[in-house]
Amino acid sequence: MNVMLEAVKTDSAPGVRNFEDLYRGNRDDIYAYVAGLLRDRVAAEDVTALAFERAYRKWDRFDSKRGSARGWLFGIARNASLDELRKRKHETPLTHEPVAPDPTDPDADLEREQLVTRALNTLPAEDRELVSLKFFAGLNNVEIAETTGISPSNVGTRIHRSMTKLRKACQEAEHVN
Amino acid sequence: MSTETNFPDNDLNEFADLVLALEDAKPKADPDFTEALDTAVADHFPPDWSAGVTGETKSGFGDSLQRWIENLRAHMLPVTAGLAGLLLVVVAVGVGVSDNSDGPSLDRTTSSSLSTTADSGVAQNSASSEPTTGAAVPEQGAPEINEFSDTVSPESLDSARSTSGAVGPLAAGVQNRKVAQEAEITLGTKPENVQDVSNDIIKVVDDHNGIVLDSSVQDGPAGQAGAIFSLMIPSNELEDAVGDLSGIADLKSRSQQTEDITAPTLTTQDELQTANAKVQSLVKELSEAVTDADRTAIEADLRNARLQAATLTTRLNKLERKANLTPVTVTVVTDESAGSGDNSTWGIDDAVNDAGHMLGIAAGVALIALAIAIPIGIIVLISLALNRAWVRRSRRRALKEN
Repeated sequence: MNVMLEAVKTDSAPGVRNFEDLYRGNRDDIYAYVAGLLRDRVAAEDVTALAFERAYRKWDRFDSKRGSARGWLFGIARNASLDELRKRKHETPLTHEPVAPDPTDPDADLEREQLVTRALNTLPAEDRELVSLKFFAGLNNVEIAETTGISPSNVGTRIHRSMTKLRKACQEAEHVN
Repeated sequence: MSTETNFPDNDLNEFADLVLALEDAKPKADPDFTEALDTAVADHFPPDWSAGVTGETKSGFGDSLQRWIENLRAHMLPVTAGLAGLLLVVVAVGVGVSDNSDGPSLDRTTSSSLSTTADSGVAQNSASSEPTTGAAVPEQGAPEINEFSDTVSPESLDSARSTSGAVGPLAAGVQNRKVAQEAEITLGTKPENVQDVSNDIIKVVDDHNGIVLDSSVQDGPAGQAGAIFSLMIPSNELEDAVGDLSGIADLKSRSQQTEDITAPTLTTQDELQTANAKVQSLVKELSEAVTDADRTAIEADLRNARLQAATLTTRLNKLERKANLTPVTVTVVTDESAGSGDNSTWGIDDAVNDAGHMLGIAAGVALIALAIAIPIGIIVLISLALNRAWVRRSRRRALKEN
């Protein structure tokens, strides 16, 4: 990306001088979070792109005093993802390619990753979201609180519950295999 | 990846294997997608950026229509509420305007009740001489005079005229009254405009099918120049004619008198009926008279009876004419300060007055605009807030249901 974006914010969060920085620092995390929540690669690509476009259009309205740029961006992505879920409810059921581990990755323990992914896909969206935000996107609890609206003190407890559910789901999936 | 942040160590330890597995299972975007998205970001999301990133083209009419429908659906609530608010305000304004237009017309109806009653009485009088029952008739031989006059402004005169119909002995509810009216108008103008004003007076009289009984126009300096007109105006045209005459020049004074002549008219009608009956009776007696003496005596009585009937007929005709035609005296006086209606003395005071008037109109228009805009704005804001709450709720529900 050689072209510097015009939308430059000098008062934004540290390390985020302009929208390009924000994009570069969060592209993969946003995609991972959205894909984990939606369980659909194609839809995740659409929603990720849409979220960055919305963020770009609203970048001049971002106020760093109200929160971090990363939390703001994930909030936009979250809204776009939930809108996608709403749309699915009214329209067609999932037909796209489900999220699965990359089989070409030589370092991956493919069987274990597939097990975790299958187990994650069985969890309710609320749990998938928290797990995705925490472990796919790498947000800390404060950022998760900013993104989801859950109180920061409650985030840890909710993640613990989700992980417990995930572990149980993994055990059940392992038992089935 | 900062999995340790705000996550208790014992929990990390508890889920350590799971966390490692999750980190390895992190979904990775397709390189083609990331490259296309990089390009879109670098190009500032051009209009057709989604074709390169998601593979979907959104350039045809169908796609545009679909996008438009999606946008409409997304903003359906505020748009609908805005339209509903606009409709509400339009209806309210329409009703308000209708009420305003109804108000004066009601006043007009009320104010014209005097002239309408009088006119209908006149009209009926000319169409039929049959009197109404005595219940509505005032004391015979006691004509009542209702005078409302003063040297007042035209506005207050109009106001007085609009309320005078509901009071006094000519109150509504009495039918077939015979009312004789008189009016006097004094107009002021400049000496050089006396002739024009006189011509206008004649034109108004012609327009209302009136008669100029007498007129006198005097030239000269201010104070001496002037004119006086004795007019007869059909009573059913009186209100309009007086209004038109008052508008020709500066209205100095206007007075109108009404006299209820119902009682003398009915009395005369009764007497005439009696006289006619007596004539017919005498004619019958005359035909049956045997002796010359009887015939002579009856003929003498018949002459007297016929004379009395003729007298009564004449009196009745006069009363009817008095009710049908109203004498109006118009006097034109002159002085230098009098305006002629041609704005020739327009000066700084008038400019200030006009400016104030214009500002008043502008303020009124602004007030009306605010009265329309504020409710619409409030409704739209409420709708937007409701829409936002609804979207949030449906997003939460979507999260719970998936």
